[in-house]
Amino acid sequence: MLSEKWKCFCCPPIVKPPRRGVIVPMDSTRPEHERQIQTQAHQLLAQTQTSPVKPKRKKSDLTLAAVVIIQTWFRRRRALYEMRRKTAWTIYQNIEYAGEQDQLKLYNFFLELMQAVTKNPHDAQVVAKVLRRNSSLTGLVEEIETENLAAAEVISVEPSYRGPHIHTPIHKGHFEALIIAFQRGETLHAHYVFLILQELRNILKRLPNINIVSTHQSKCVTVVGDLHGSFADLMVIFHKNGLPSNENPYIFNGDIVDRGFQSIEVFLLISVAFIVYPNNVYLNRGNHEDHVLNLRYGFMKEIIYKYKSNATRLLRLMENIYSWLPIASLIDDHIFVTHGGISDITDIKKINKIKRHKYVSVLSPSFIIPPNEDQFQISSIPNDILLEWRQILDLLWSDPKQTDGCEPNTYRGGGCYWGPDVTQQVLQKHNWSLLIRSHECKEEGFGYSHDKKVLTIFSASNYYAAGSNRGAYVKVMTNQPLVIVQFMSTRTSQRTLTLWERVSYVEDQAIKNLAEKFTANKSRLMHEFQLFDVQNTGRISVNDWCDVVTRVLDLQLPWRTLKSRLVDTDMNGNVVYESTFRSRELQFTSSVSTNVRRESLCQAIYRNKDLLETVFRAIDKDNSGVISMQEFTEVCTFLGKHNGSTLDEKQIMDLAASIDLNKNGVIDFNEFLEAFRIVDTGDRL
Amino acid sequence: MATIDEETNIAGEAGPAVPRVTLRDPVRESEERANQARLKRLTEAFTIFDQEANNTIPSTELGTVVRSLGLVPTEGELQDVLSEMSDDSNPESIHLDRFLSVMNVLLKDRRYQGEPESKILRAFQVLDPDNNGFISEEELRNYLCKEGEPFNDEEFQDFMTIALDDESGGVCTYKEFIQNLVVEDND
Repeated sequence: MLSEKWKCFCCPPIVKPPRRGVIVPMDSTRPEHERQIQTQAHQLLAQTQTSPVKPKRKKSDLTLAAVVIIQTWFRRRRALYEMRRKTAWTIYQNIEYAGEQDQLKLYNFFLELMQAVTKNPHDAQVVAKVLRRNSSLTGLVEEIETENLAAAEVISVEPSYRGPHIHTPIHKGHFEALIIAFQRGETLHAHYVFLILQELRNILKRLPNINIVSTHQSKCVTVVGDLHGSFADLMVIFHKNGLPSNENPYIFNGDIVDRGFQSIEVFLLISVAFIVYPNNVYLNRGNHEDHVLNLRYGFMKEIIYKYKSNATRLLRLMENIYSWLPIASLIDDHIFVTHGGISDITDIKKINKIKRHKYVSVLSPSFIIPPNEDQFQISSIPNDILLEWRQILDLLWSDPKQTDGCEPNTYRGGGCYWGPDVTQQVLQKHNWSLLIRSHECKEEGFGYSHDKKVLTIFSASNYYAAGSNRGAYVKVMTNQPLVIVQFMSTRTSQRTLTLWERVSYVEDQAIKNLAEKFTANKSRLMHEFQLFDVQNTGRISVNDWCDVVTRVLDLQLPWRTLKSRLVDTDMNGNVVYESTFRSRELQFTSSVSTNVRRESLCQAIYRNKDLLETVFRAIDKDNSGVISMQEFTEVCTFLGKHNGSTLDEKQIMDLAASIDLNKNGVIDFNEFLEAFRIVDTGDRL
Repeated sequence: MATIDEETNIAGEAGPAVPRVTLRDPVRESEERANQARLKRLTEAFTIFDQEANNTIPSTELGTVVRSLGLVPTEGELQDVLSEMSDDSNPESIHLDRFLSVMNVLLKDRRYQGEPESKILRAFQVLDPDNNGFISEEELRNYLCKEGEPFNDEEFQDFMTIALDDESGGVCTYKEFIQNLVVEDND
């Protein structure tokens, strides 16, 4: 039934070989390696030679020495590639986590921007509703509001619509129809989306904070980690492990949306599975089931793009649905499953008492953090509220660490880093034997920590780039060891990639990302470089180059290791710093020369492209693709101010005019954004 | 070479207080800079595998780190390095300080530099006694996976990907291959 183009690749787990240390030295000047060789080689040669023992041993010694030389040099080459692979991985993770830290800052910026731009109070209201942090709706008021939101009837289905039609009662046939439709790349009609989400919400509201899962009937349950909108990976999982059913239960451990391009489809499919089998499909909320993150990480953009005039309603409904998602599951009373992890205060009894739907956003709950305060202090929150918030926040945001203790997770901006002692303590307190969590991308799709008491499961393969990592899911079976299944969803090759291939795919993309960051920050970087180059030689020391780059980009990366792939060095080993931008430049479609100040604005625009796009789309209510010149100028001015540069309206209008986009007082912002691309200089005409 | 800050009474005769002379040794200074740079380079390579940001790496990753820094030890030699660096109380991981002190010595003494290309060529020739100029996949498998410090399946597969000569089909023309084997990672 499932389309055949979704091939699965049952990759065997990679096990690092134990070290073997039997060698024969080529020259005898290294006394510490006098070890006798085994008779293996002896026998090999004995079959073919008839000479006496001594010359035989000498020849086989020589052969073995030769073999070892080849093996040793090959291992060295391989190690160089391993290092490159690991370095590329470090780049991805650093960029990812550095981005997450800025969450709240960006969100606040966005809100201020919206307020500044939409002078029309009605407009401002509409837009603010999309991003509202004030969800003080409770009880009856919330119910009525959400009923209005979810009302599918107000949306009519045109006769020309060729996609699947969903009706209540929703059943297995609908589930299968959706799979086929989504595989074809179709978008489900808004009417049916609301129908499904309405059903979903009704069931979710009745659930406790922690799902109680038992393998008593089905004998097993499958836990799936982060999917991040990857429809391909979901298909691979269903293909390998079977569709969800009463005999084949699933727990989806959060982060279903954001980053990938089919977040809504994946969410809908899982929702329908949940609706059809409410006692055997379990949902845990992830940190990305949060509208604050959806703004930045793509889900909001996807919804606005696919659902246009219904986007606002849909996003608000999703906000509400997120708040009703359970926050953890407990399998057979002894395996705790939650998205992020735990912390030193994790306590089930306290968690059970929380009214979880107050937390519309977990990262920034509006009833705790007032919306318009820049100088807000965490210390001003009453302790009991803080502790309650932490219970949920820590479950969804924390990461394990190797050393004992529990400290705030400043890397991500939420949750904790918890150590093996905390795992021990929390497991013991609740009588649990294992913690299954997700939240962190693992190269093999899974990873154990804390003496195998914590298992990380991550189900989005190729997360950073094609070939960057496998995905995995885990089958928990009654009274049996865990079974972890790995996979990688690719459409191209069937065989396992060699190390050389994996490195080149993953590294290329990572280096490209860095090169783009350089170009997007060119003015600042050049300014700093020149401070070190008083004599204007065009060169600075490696040390200085690394310092500047680390500071300006705010990225702690192995720059010395990466240097050879990023810049040119001269004979003395100094960095020719202009080569930092050698292969890429920020280009505009016009050939009008740009002065330095304008360059800086353009770089600021490029850096914030995603945000700008979301802002433009939010302003453009009728999805015509254009906004007024006035609105456009206000957005850019605001951006300029936020970046600390003094740009005036005239400059921006000049810029827009020179790119010749000003047609009758409106700006086609797609064209505008397209005009800012970072291209290889080789592509230049 | 001395830099004279102020007028100096070289003879040191009694008189007004002798101003200080700062002696600068450019050779020493550049050595210092080189040491610093090397230290940073070593630390960086180490830190790439330091997942927990606590200045340790798992012992299993030591081979990759050491080799990527330019050394060419055999597996046996790597074991020696490992035992020098690891701590009895915690054999599974290696601390940055131990790593740096041992690596500094290894680099200074130019240990484990590996063989020149001519010796590697000779090694291949030993395995090719008939002097064909090539070795078959079969023979390579027999040698590399069963003798010396044997490859595992993954290593062998990766080896064959670069060793096999597409045109001659199924054999390794080793003279050309050696260029590929001894690839340098600059710096």
